[in-house]
Amino acid sequence: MSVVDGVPAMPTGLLDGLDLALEARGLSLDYAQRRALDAVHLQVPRQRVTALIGSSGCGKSSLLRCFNRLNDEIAGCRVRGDVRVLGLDAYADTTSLPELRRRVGMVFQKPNPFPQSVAENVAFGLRLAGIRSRLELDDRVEAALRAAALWDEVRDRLGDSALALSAGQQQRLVIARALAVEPEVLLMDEPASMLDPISTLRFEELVVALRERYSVLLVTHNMQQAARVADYTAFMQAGRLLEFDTTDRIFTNPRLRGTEDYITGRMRESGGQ
Amino acid sequence: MPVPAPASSVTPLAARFAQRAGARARRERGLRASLGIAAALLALLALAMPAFLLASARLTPGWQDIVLPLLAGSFKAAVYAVLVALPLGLGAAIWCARFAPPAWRAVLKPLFELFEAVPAVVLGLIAALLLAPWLARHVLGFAIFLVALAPTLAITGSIWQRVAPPRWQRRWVGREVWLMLAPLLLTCAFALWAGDWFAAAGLAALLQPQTPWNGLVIGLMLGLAVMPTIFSLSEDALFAVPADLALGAQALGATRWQALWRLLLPVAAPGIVAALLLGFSRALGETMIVLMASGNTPLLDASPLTGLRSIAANLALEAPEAAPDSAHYGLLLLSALLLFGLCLLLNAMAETVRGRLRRRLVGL
Amino acid sequence: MAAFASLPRGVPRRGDTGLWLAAGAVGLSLLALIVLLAVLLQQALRAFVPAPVAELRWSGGGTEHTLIAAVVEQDAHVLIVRGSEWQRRGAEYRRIARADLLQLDWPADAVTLNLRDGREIHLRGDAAAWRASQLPVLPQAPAGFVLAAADIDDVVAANRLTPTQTIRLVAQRGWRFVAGAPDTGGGVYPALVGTVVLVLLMSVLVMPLGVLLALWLHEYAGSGRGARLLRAAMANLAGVPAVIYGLFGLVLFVNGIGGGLDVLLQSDVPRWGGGGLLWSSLTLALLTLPVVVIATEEGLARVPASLRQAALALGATRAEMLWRVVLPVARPALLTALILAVARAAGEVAPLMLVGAVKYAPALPLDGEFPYLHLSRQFMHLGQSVYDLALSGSDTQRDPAQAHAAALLLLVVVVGLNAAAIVVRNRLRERARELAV
Repeated sequence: MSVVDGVPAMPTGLLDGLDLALEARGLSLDYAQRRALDAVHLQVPRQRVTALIGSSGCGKSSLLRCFNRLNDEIAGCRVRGDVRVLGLDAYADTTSLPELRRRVGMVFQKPNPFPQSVAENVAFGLRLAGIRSRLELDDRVEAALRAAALWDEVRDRLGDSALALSAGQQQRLVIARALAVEPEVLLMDEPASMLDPISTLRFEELVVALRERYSVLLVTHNMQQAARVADYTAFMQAGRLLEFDTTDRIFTNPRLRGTEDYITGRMRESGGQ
Repeated sequence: MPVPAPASSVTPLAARFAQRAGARARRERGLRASLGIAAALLALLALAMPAFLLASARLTPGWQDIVLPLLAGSFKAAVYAVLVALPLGLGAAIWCARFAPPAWRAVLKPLFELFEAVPAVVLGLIAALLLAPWLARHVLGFAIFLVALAPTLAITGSIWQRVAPPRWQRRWVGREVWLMLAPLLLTCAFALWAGDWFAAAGLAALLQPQTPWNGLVIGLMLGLAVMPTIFSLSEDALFAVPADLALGAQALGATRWQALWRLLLPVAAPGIVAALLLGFSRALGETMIVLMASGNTPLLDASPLTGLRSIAANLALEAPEAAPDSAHYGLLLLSALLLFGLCLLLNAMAETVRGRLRRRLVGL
Repeated sequence: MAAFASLPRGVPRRGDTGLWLAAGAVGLSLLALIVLLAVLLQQALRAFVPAPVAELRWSGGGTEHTLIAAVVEQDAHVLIVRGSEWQRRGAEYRRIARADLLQLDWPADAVTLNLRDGREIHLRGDAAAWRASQLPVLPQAPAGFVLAAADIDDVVAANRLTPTQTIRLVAQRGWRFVAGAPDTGGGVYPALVGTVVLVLLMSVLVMPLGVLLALWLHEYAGSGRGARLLRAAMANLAGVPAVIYGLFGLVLFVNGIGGGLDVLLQSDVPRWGGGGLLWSSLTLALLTLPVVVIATEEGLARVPASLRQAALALGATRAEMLWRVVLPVARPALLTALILAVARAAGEVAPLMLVGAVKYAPALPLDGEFPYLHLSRQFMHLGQSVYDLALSGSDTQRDPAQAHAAALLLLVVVVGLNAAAIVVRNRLRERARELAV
């Protein structure tokens, strides 16, 4: 089987009847020097966790950053093709970037809390919305921290610097910060790669819980992680999306040889650790 | 795991954001506009500086007689200053970047940079009231000091290397400055004594300055003022050269100095040339030291024992009194234009040369 | 660094002549620095330490003179003395060749009367009694000289001072120098106020513009042609001599805008068309603009990209990202920029000579009279005072010792500010490293 016109190997009717949160069609992305994405087709269903796997430099992060247009920040970066976020054209002239980015939250590889207090970090987006009332801010901060499963750990340290938290806590704080502005989609760029095993476990539980309300697109290097948390998994290689299927099938019975090689190679590698 | 109330596509928060979208966009445009205005202002300023000089400068007949001695004065001051500053600044930079222990470097570099901040008027004061009269009495001694200094240092160093036990030598690696203080002070004392002795023997007429406020004084004090500029830039250039380059050479048996002289210095040369150019440019434009300690006599000669009048000092002296639109005013602006152009040229050259250094370092 | 740490042991180090010369250059530079500082300190102290008083007899012009005077300076050939100043301060300095000297005593009961207007009178007598507000008898006083108790500031037994008394006197006089006006026996208070007001006004003008420019260059302009041109313009402006800025200020602000304003306001005397506070601070603001922009840009560059992306990903606009995340994180850099600009401006004299600093200004630029801050007034400046006290005017109007004291004050202020900038910058770098981990 091969990829025709960038349409990945994918069972027909796989996503029938599901709402789509994100959709990319014929998406190509060029940096000044090289092509990062080549005619990518991807559909991310609502209120599911979709994992994006592939070796380093295959374009996973670039693809992720097309959905909230963070690639716009990179000089000399050109995007062609169709990107739909919650049914709207992300690259249309009429699209408001701040609104797009509010609805599509993002969690980065390295926890990046602002050098402010824990509470102020979560309140950042709320202040952008013009919320000034202390009471409302406190309520919303608490709700976001609860949703990110951090409230119990930081309820007494809301005024402390966010930089004093552990890496795992910082990563959940960053999620709380993203959740506070009530997004509908969460993009996660290898969010657990800097965490210790226990923090990773807690983090994965959180991702599964978030699935009830949010559509999650998760880039990961960790095969087991994808297997544990994702409903669907997409495999990328060299700027192309090769295969898309339910996670079970990708890991047990992939259609493409390349997918199998990657997964089994990885499996062996991590199994030996 | 507790999850807050389900999100519909339009939550209260989304409505709030929608409400503020206009104000936020306006603010964004406002910032963009004010940034644009600031940038335009600066561009205007950068253009206005040469434009106003060009517009008001006049070439009245006989301008050469007035402007050329000033130009010569500026050059004389700057050349003497660089003659003093280059050995001091480059020597200190070499030492700091390549031989000093890190702790020393951490102290010396900010110290010299702090020295750069010393107001010129303070240096000018010391030059005019203290250094000039003192130096006028001890020109001979100073000449002897100049001649004797380098050989004394070199001889002391080589004696130390030959005579001192290797264990001592290793302990003093990186602390050679302390070792050099003794010969330095001894040379000073000897030069003073010998100078006075020669003067007493009736040889004072050999080197009798016409005025205490002369090129020598300017060279010394302006040199000290410019030295940190040269030091700082060439230190940066030398320090940026990868250390492996020197280590490789040393592994082949080169001494520390040979490694520096044959390998590091050529690589860092553009940076040092840039430092020299910028130092020269600074010396050309420096006003207060020259104004206070040069005597301000417009002369067309290069002797260190006569006074001078530089363009910058002349501007400070005459511009406040010159009537706008007079011929005098036009000539003042002509001289200023010359100074401006020279400094611009030197800066541009330095920038080009530094670009070469950057490319070279990237190549390593 | 590494070259030092991993120096191969026992390598023969022959032919290292240059190394010794480099070490000598460091030594010589340090020596020069120390000597400069020591000389300045010593000269400045002379303005405050009471000079010993001598009773002199010498022959000159065929006659014999006697005098009780403070000996300000002496060497192997000549004495410089300061006699009793019956008329005017600084009018009785005298050089006496040692060859002419017939007699030189240091009487234990020598007394110096310091008058409130800065004059000194030297005589012999009972200092303690006079201090108890008993008026001294002045046998040498010329006819018509009247001395009231209120004129006398203090009475110093100049040749019998204990070290503690000397230190107290120096401190007292030092304070009066800093806090006093020139017409009360020498003081730089108006110059200090002028400098501070000038520098504050300049900061208010330069900081917003400088920060905006740095933001534009670093956050908006990218690497386009406009940004490249502006960067080049900035680098060149930084290299323009200060006196050219002064000339620019003179032509554009004083003669151009100021002169125009005067015509517009139909004022008979030049009010804005002369040098003044506003024009000076504008000129200094232009002069320090490159300093501010370069230091601010460095700070902006140290704000981690991850924080910017975090803010943008939350839906912040660029303005919000800059205002709420980038500028707060870069705050120490802004402080550094401000301090560096202030230090540069405080020490710069040449441009001010063209646009408004004067030797003597009758009124402060800041006072209790509406509109409190007088933008068109001429003002005094510490650096200008150094120059004036040392060199300008006739011999009797100069006071080299006070010039050195003013210079020391200026040096302390400027070097202190620069040292503060270095400390703040180091803290900023540490913090940036912390954020980057």
